[in-house]
Amino acid sequence: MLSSKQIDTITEIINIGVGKGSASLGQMINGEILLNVPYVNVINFEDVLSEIQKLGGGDEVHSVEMKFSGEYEGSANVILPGESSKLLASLLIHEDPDSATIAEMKDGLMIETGNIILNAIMGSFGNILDAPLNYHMPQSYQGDVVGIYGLLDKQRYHQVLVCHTNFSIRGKNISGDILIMYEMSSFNKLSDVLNKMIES
Amino acid sequence: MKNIIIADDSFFQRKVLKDILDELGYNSEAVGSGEELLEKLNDTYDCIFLDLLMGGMSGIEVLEELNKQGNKIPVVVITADIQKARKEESLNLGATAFMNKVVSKEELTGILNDIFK
Repeated sequence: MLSSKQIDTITEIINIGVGKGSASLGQMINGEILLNVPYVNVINFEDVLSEIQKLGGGDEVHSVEMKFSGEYEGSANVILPGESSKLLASLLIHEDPDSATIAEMKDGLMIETGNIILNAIMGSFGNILDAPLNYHMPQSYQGDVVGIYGLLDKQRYHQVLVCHTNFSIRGKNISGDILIMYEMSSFNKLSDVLNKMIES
Repeated sequence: MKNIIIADDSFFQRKVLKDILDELGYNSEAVGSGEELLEKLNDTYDCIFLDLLMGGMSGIEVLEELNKQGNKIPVVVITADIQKARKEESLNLGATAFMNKVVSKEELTGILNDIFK
Protein backbone atom coordinates (compact mmCIF):
# COMPACT_ATOMS: atom_id res chain seq x y z
CA MET A 1 0.00 0.00 0.00
CA LEU A 2 1.04 3.60 -0.43
CA SER A 3 1.16 6.06 2.43
CA SER A 4 -0.84 9.27 2.24
CA LYS A 5 2.42 11.20 1.75
CA GLN A 6 3.43 8.98 -1.16
CA ILE A 7 0.02 9.42 -2.75
CA ASP A 8 0.24 13.15 -2.22
CA THR A 9 3.66 13.22 -3.93
CA ILE A 10 2.49 11.19 -6.93
CA THR A 11 -0.64 13.32 -7.20
CA GLU A 12 1.49 16.44 -7.35
CA ILE A 13 3.79 14.97 -10.01
CA ILE A 14 0.72 13.99 -12.08
CA ASN A 15 -0.71 17.46 -11.54
CA ILE A 16 2.45 19.09 -12.92
CA GLY A 17 2.52 16.77 -15.93
CA VAL A 18 -1.17 17.09 -16.68
CA GLY A 19 -0.82 20.86 -16.40
CA LYS A 20 1.91 20.82 -19.05
CA GLY A 21 0.02 18.38 -21.24
CA SER A 22 -3.19 20.35 -21.06
CA ALA A 23 -1.37 23.58 -21.85
CA SER A 24 -0.07 21.94 -25.02
CA LEU A 25 -3.49 20.57 -25.90
CA GLY A 26 -5.03 23.99 -25.29
CA GLN A 27 -2.46 25.49 -27.66
CA MET A 28 -3.24 22.89 -30.31
CA ILE A 29 -6.96 23.65 -30.31
CA ASN A 30 -6.80 27.26 -29.16
CA GLY A 31 -9.10 26.49 -26.25
CA GLU A 32 -9.18 26.15 -22.48
CA ILE A 33 -8.72 22.78 -20.81
CA LEU A 34 -10.40 22.11 -17.48
CA LEU A 35 -8.77 19.62 -15.13
CA ASN A 36 -9.81 17.59 -12.13
CA VAL A 37 -7.60 16.56 -9.22
CA PRO A 38 -5.91 13.24 -10.01
CA TYR A 39 -6.87 10.08 -8.17
CA VAL A 40 -4.04 7.73 -7.26
CA ASN A 41 -4.52 4.23 -5.92
CA VAL A 42 -3.08 0.73 -5.90
CA ILE A 43 -5.45 -1.96 -7.15
CA ASN A 44 -5.33 -5.59 -8.23
CA PHE A 45 -5.30 -6.20 -11.95
CA GLU A 46 -8.72 -7.88 -11.71
CA ASP A 47 -10.13 -4.51 -10.68
CA VAL A 48 -8.69 -2.63 -13.64
CA LEU A 49 -11.77 -3.23 -15.77
CA SER A 50 -14.14 -1.78 -13.20
CA GLU A 51 -11.70 1.14 -12.84
CA ILE A 52 -11.78 1.71 -16.60
CA GLN A 53 -15.57 1.36 -16.63
CA LYS A 54 -15.75 4.21 -14.11
CA LEU A 55 -14.12 6.49 -16.66
CA GLY A 56 -17.41 7.36 -18.28
CA GLY A 57 -16.28 6.70 -21.81
CA GLY A 58 -19.36 4.66 -22.59
CA ASP A 59 -19.35 1.60 -24.78
CA GLU A 60 -17.31 3.09 -27.60
CA VAL A 61 -14.01 4.67 -26.62
CA HIS A 62 -10.87 5.79 -28.44
CA SER A 63 -7.76 5.10 -26.44
CA VAL A 64 -4.09 5.90 -27.02
CA GLU A 65 -1.60 3.83 -25.09
CA MET A 66 2.08 4.66 -24.68
CA LYS A 67 4.17 2.01 -22.98
CA PHE A 68 7.26 3.15 -21.14
CA SER A 69 10.37 1.41 -19.91
CA GLY A 70 13.65 2.27 -18.29
CA GLU A 71 13.79 2.87 -14.54
CA TYR A 72 10.06 2.22 -14.40
CA GLU A 73 7.85 0.18 -16.66
CA GLY A 74 4.20 0.47 -17.40
CA SER A 75 1.54 1.91 -19.59
CA ALA A 76 0.07 5.40 -19.88
CA ASN A 77 -3.29 5.85 -21.57
CA VAL A 78 -5.54 8.63 -22.77
CA ILE A 79 -9.11 7.40 -23.12
CA LEU A 80 -11.85 9.44 -24.78
CA PRO A 81 -15.48 8.61 -25.50
CA GLY A 82 -15.87 7.98 -29.25
CA GLU A 83 -17.84 11.19 -29.83
CA SER A 84 -15.26 13.28 -27.94
CA SER A 85 -12.41 11.93 -30.02
CA LYS A 86 -14.27 12.85 -33.22
CA LEU A 87 -14.95 16.38 -31.97
CA LEU A 88 -11.36 16.81 -30.80
CA ALA A 89 -10.03 15.68 -34.19
CA SER A 90 -12.36 18.15 -35.90
CA LEU A 91 -11.05 20.99 -33.71
CA LEU A 92 -7.47 20.10 -34.60
CA ILE A 93 -7.85 20.25 -38.36
CA HIS A 94 -10.98 22.39 -38.67
CA GLU A 95 -13.04 19.80 -40.50
CA ASP A 96 -16.61 18.66 -39.95
CA PRO A 97 -16.64 15.90 -37.27
CA ASP A 98 -18.68 13.64 -39.54
CA SER A 99 -16.58 14.23 -42.65
CA ALA A 100 -14.63 11.56 -44.49
CA THR A 101 -11.41 13.47 -43.72
CA ILE A 102 -11.99 13.08 -39.98
CA ALA A 103 -12.86 9.42 -40.38
CA GLU A 104 -9.60 8.93 -42.26
CA MET A 105 -7.33 11.04 -40.04
CA LYS A 106 -8.80 10.64 -36.57
CA ASP A 107 -6.50 7.80 -35.60
CA GLY A 108 -3.31 9.70 -36.43
CA LEU A 109 -4.59 12.86 -34.77
CA MET A 110 -5.47 10.98 -31.60
CA ILE A 111 -2.07 9.32 -31.52
CA GLU A 112 -0.31 12.69 -31.75
CA THR A 113 -2.59 14.23 -29.13
CA GLY A 114 -2.02 11.26 -26.81
CA ASN A 115 1.71 11.44 -27.51
CA ILE A 116 1.89 15.07 -26.38
CA ILE A 117 -0.28 14.66 -23.27
CA LEU A 118 1.33 11.42 -22.12
CA ASN A 119 4.87 12.66 -22.77
CA ALA A 120 4.15 15.69 -20.61
CA ILE A 121 2.92 13.55 -17.73
CA MET A 122 5.51 10.80 -17.93
CA GLY A 123 8.25 13.33 -18.62
CA SER A 124 7.38 15.00 -15.34
CA PHE A 125 7.87 11.66 -13.59
CA GLY A 126 11.19 11.19 -15.36
CA ASN A 127 12.40 14.67 -14.51
CA ILE A 128 11.21 14.89 -10.92
CA LEU A 129 12.32 11.38 -9.98
CA ASP A 130 15.54 11.80 -11.99
CA ALA A 131 14.82 8.53 -13.79
CA PRO A 132 14.72 8.88 -17.58
CA LEU A 133 12.11 6.80 -19.36
CA ASN A 134 12.11 5.35 -22.84
CA TYR A 135 8.86 5.59 -24.70
CA HIS A 136 7.44 3.09 -27.12
CA MET A 137 5.47 4.20 -30.16
CA PRO A 138 1.95 5.17 -29.08
CA GLN A 139 -0.79 2.77 -30.16
CA SER A 140 -4.40 3.67 -30.82
CA TYR A 141 -7.38 1.45 -30.03
CA GLN A 142 -11.05 1.94 -30.72
CA GLY A 143 -13.79 -0.19 -29.24
CA ASP A 144 -15.42 -1.00 -25.95
CA VAL A 145 -13.58 -0.92 -22.64
CA VAL A 146 -13.71 -4.68 -22.31
CA GLY A 147 -11.88 -4.99 -25.62
CA ILE A 148 -9.19 -2.57 -24.45
CA TYR A 149 -8.90 -4.34 -21.11
CA GLY A 150 -8.33 -7.58 -23.00
CA LEU A 151 -5.31 -6.02 -24.73
CA LEU A 152 -3.47 -5.36 -21.48
CA ASP A 153 -0.69 -7.69 -20.51
CA LYS A 154 -2.14 -9.63 -17.57
CA GLN A 155 1.20 -11.25 -16.72
CA ARG A 156 2.87 -7.92 -16.14
CA TYR A 157 0.15 -6.15 -14.24
CA HIS A 158 -0.41 -8.29 -11.17
CA GLN A 159 -0.88 -5.29 -8.96
CA VAL A 160 -1.32 -1.89 -10.50
CA LEU A 161 -0.63 1.63 -9.41
CA VAL A 162 -3.42 3.56 -11.03
CA CYS A 163 -3.19 7.29 -11.59
CA HIS A 164 -6.38 8.65 -13.04
CA THR A 165 -7.50 12.13 -13.93
CA ASN A 166 -10.20 13.67 -16.05
CA PHE A 167 -10.09 16.66 -18.39
CA SER A 168 -12.61 18.54 -20.47
CA ILE A 169 -12.55 21.40 -22.94
CA ARG A 170 -14.48 24.51 -21.97
CA GLY A 171 -17.46 25.16 -24.17
CA LYS A 172 -17.07 21.88 -26.03
CA ASN A 173 -18.64 18.54 -25.34
CA ILE A 174 -15.24 16.88 -25.07
CA SER A 175 -13.86 15.03 -22.08
CA GLY A 176 -11.31 12.35 -21.50
CA ASP A 177 -9.45 10.32 -18.93
CA ILE A 178 -5.80 9.67 -18.31
CA LEU A 179 -4.84 6.33 -16.82
CA ILE A 180 -1.30 5.33 -15.88
CA MET A 181 -0.46 1.83 -14.73
CA TYR A 182 2.86 0.82 -13.22
CA GLU A 183 4.07 -2.73 -13.44
CA MET A 184 4.61 -4.32 -10.01
CA SER A 185 8.43 -4.34 -9.76
CA SER A 186 8.47 -0.75 -10.99
CA PHE A 187 5.86 0.09 -8.44
CA ASN A 188 8.10 -1.17 -5.60
CA LYS A 189 11.00 0.85 -6.95
CA LEU A 190 8.79 3.91 -7.25
CA SER A 191 7.64 3.47 -3.67
CA ASP A 192 11.28 3.42 -2.46
CA VAL A 193 12.16 6.55 -4.42
CA LEU A 194 9.10 8.36 -3.11
CA ASN A 195 10.09 7.46 0.45
CA LYS A 196 13.55 8.90 -0.10
CA MET A 197 12.04 12.08 -1.52
CA ILE A 198 9.63 12.41 1.37
CA GLU A 199 12.33 11.79 3.99
CA SER A 200 14.93 14.10 2.48
CA MET B 1 15.03 31.88 -49.26
CA LYS B 2 16.14 29.34 -46.62
CA ASN B 3 15.11 25.71 -47.10
CA ILE B 4 13.94 23.69 -44.12
CA ILE B 5 13.15 19.98 -44.08
CA ILE B 6 10.82 18.57 -41.44
CA ALA B 7 10.91 14.92 -40.34
CA ASP B 8 7.90 13.99 -38.24
CA ASP B 9 5.62 10.96 -38.44
CA SER B 10 2.58 13.01 -37.44
CA PHE B 11 0.64 14.58 -40.27
CA PHE B 12 -0.73 17.16 -37.85
CA GLN B 13 2.70 18.30 -36.68
CA ARG B 14 4.05 18.43 -40.24
CA LYS B 15 1.12 20.63 -41.23
CA VAL B 16 1.43 22.93 -38.19
CA LEU B 17 5.16 23.42 -38.74
CA LYS B 18 4.83 23.91 -42.49
CA ASP B 19 2.06 26.49 -41.98
CA ILE B 20 4.19 28.48 -39.53
CA LEU B 21 7.29 28.28 -41.74
CA ASP B 22 5.29 29.41 -44.78
CA GLU B 23 4.00 32.35 -42.77
CA LEU B 24 7.54 33.24 -41.67
CA GLY B 25 8.74 33.19 -45.27
CA TYR B 26 10.75 29.97 -45.26
CA ASN B 27 10.68 27.28 -47.91
CA SER B 28 9.76 23.99 -46.29
CA GLU B 29 9.07 20.40 -47.11
CA ALA B 30 8.21 17.48 -44.89
CA VAL B 31 8.88 13.77 -44.69
CA GLY B 32 7.26 11.18 -42.42
CA SER B 33 10.28 9.22 -41.19
CA GLY B 34 13.97 9.36 -40.32
CA GLU B 35 14.78 7.04 -43.21
CA GLU B 36 13.10 9.37 -45.72
CA LEU B 37 14.97 12.31 -44.25
CA LEU B 38 18.36 10.65 -44.65
CA GLU B 39 17.49 9.59 -48.17
CA LYS B 40 16.41 13.06 -49.18
CA LEU B 41 19.00 15.12 -47.33
CA ASN B 42 21.48 17.13 -49.36
CA ASP B 43 23.31 20.43 -49.01
CA THR B 44 20.46 22.48 -50.45
CA TYR B 45 18.80 22.36 -47.03
CA ASP B 46 19.66 25.03 -44.48
CA CYS B 47 18.00 23.48 -41.44
CA ILE B 48 16.45 20.19 -40.29
CA PHE B 49 13.46 19.91 -37.95
CA LEU B 50 13.57 16.47 -36.37
CA ASP B 51 11.01 14.60 -34.27
CA LEU B 52 12.39 12.01 -31.84
CA LEU B 53 9.71 9.36 -31.38
CA MET B 54 9.04 8.02 -34.87
CA GLY B 55 8.36 4.55 -36.25
CA GLY B 56 11.45 2.98 -37.84
CA MET B 57 14.52 5.08 -37.07
CA SER B 58 14.10 7.23 -34.00
CA GLY B 59 15.28 10.83 -34.03
CA ILE B 60 18.17 9.86 -31.76
CA GLU B 61 19.28 7.24 -34.31
CA VAL B 62 18.99 9.85 -37.05
CA LEU B 63 21.21 12.22 -35.06
CA GLU B 64 23.78 9.44 -34.63
CA GLU B 65 23.70 8.74 -38.37
CA LEU B 66 24.03 12.43 -39.19
CA ASN B 67 27.08 12.56 -36.93
CA LYS B 68 28.66 9.65 -38.79
CA GLN B 69 28.04 11.46 -42.07
CA GLY B 70 29.67 14.64 -40.76
CA ASN B 71 26.48 16.66 -41.08
CA LYS B 72 26.90 20.43 -40.92
CA ILE B 73 23.24 21.40 -41.32
CA PRO B 74 21.70 22.73 -38.08
CA VAL B 75 19.22 20.29 -36.51
CA VAL B 76 16.34 21.50 -34.38
CA VAL B 77 14.80 18.68 -32.36
CA ILE B 78 11.05 19.20 -31.93
CA THR B 79 9.56 16.59 -29.62
CA ALA B 80 6.81 15.92 -27.11
CA ASP B 81 9.44 14.41 -24.78
CA ILE B 82 10.03 16.97 -22.03
CA GLN B 83 12.68 14.98 -20.16
CA LYS B 84 15.90 16.79 -19.34
CA ALA B 85 17.84 13.61 -20.10
CA ARG B 86 16.46 13.55 -23.65
CA LYS B 87 17.38 17.19 -24.19
CA GLU B 88 20.94 16.56 -23.01
CA GLU B 89 21.21 13.46 -25.19
CA SER B 90 20.01 15.37 -28.26
CA LEU B 91 22.34 18.32 -27.70
CA ASN B 92 25.26 15.97 -27.00
CA LEU B 93 24.55 14.30 -30.33
CA GLY B 94 24.89 17.61 -32.11
CA ALA B 95 21.38 19.07 -32.20
CA THR B 96 21.54 22.86 -32.42
CA ALA B 97 18.33 23.39 -30.46
CA PHE B 98 15.72 21.39 -28.58
CA MET B 99 12.05 22.42 -28.53
CA ASN B 100 8.98 20.86 -26.99
CA LYS B 101 5.75 20.40 -28.89
CA VAL B 102 3.54 22.33 -29.30
CA VAL B 103 5.80 25.07 -30.72
CA SER B 104 4.53 28.57 -31.26
CA LYS B 105 5.35 30.92 -34.10
CA GLU B 106 7.24 33.17 -31.65
CA GLU B 107 9.43 30.31 -30.39
CA LEU B 108 10.24 29.20 -33.93
CA THR B 109 11.04 32.75 -34.98
CA GLY B 110 13.50 33.06 -32.09
CA ILE B 111 15.25 29.76 -32.84
CA LEU B 112 15.49 30.41 -36.58
CA ASN B 113 16.76 33.96 -36.03
CA ASP B 114 19.50 32.52 -33.81
CA ILE B 115 20.43 29.90 -36.41
CA PHE B 116 20.45 32.22 -39.42
CA LYS B 117 21.85 35.37 -37.79
